[in-house]
Amino acid sequence: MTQLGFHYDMSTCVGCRVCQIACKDKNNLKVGVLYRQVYDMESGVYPNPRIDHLSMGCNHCADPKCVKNCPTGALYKREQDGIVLHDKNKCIGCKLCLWSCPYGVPQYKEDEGIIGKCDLCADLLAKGEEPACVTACITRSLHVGEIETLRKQYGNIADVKGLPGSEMTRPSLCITTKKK
Amino acid sequence: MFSEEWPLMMFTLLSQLAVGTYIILLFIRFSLMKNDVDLSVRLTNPGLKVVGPIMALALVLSVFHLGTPLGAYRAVLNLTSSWLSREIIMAGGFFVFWFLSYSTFKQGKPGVALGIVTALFGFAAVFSNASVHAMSVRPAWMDVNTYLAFYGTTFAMGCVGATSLVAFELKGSAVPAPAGKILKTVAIIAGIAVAVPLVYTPFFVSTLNAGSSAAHDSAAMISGSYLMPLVIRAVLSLAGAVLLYSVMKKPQSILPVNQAFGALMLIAAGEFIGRYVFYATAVSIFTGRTLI
Repeated sequence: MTQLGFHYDMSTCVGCRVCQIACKDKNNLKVGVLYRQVYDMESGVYPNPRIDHLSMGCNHCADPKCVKNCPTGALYKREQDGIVLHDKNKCIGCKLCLWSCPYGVPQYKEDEGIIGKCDLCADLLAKGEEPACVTACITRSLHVGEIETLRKQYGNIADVKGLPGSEMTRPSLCITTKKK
Repeated sequence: MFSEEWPLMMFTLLSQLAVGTYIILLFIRFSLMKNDVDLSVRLTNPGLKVVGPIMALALVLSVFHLGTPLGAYRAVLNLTSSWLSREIIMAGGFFVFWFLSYSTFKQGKPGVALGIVTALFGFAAVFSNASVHAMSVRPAWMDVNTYLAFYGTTFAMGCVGATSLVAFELKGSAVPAPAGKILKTVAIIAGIAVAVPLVYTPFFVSTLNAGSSAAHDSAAMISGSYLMPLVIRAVLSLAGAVLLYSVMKKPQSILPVNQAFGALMLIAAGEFIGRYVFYATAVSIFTGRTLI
């Protein structure tokens, strides 16, 4: 089975959040709901302070806990490309996926009474385009593609400080880390 | 944020009260049945009648936790891997079998097999309920503590619930000797059910302290801002268990209903606070805050 995923380059990301905004715009999300979120990590002490950024959407895990725990089957993994999709007609808003995702990806939409999440812009992929976050990134820090190909090109790191261990759900994500 | 979990919290407490009360009443019934069938029926039938409405109320409350309550029936579609689907089946099964078993009991039949099947459904419902939490990504729930807490509540509330209902039925009449002996055993079970989760708490906190940053956060909350509620919970639950035992220990002809209900109120209040702390101190493994 093909497994699509993201490559994220921490070394070039400037934390501008345009990926977050592009995602919000593409999915027409209300205030407080984010399918992709940029986190800032401050460390070090004067005179050597440091700031890192981490842009996080759904990692379309190989072993997704959200899919396993979803009681209705609203969350499922698409056979052809491994994307974790959400069927809003099946979702009952039990929020168990919010308890299950180690990356805090599914978002509860109060006004709709259901959850929503990043679908890797499956509609754009079908048209041969890239996800909105990838297209919008001003530093080309995000890439989408077959995860094994991305890992060969960029390395196989999915564990960075602050993130849960990748052994839990095997995320389809590889990260280029920043030099110390 | 926590307000949206109130229906869920009340579902867990009420369903565990219903399951526990049914199991303990069944224990009293079957124990007495050997010596005095009429007495076993007289003391347990009215209490068993109450179990169904409590479970029904719990199930209704659980629906209000959902964002789309009308889609509740779809919650059973992923039985192969979701503990929530299994929980709904088991809790629903408990309710259906309660109806069947109570109907059988009412007709004066022993209904042993039906009673056991109902109790097993109840036991499995509590297990599934605990597993829903244990399979999350909140370290404070991914521990044996969740199972101890849920079964502790089931048996603690079940013992005081069943004793109160028997006491209510006995009101004004003398406690028959065999019943007194069994109710004393029930009081001991209540004490164990209250004590085990409390004794495990320090081990639980030390396990969390040795874990991830989210586990640390939970441990800090339990031993910090939520310590006083936990102490109050321990005092209330232990006071309830001691009161129940002291009532049953005295050789007396009449079981004081007020004291039995007092024990129920104390333990229910303790379990309510304990469950509140259970939900309030569960920190997700990834909150974004862990990155700062």
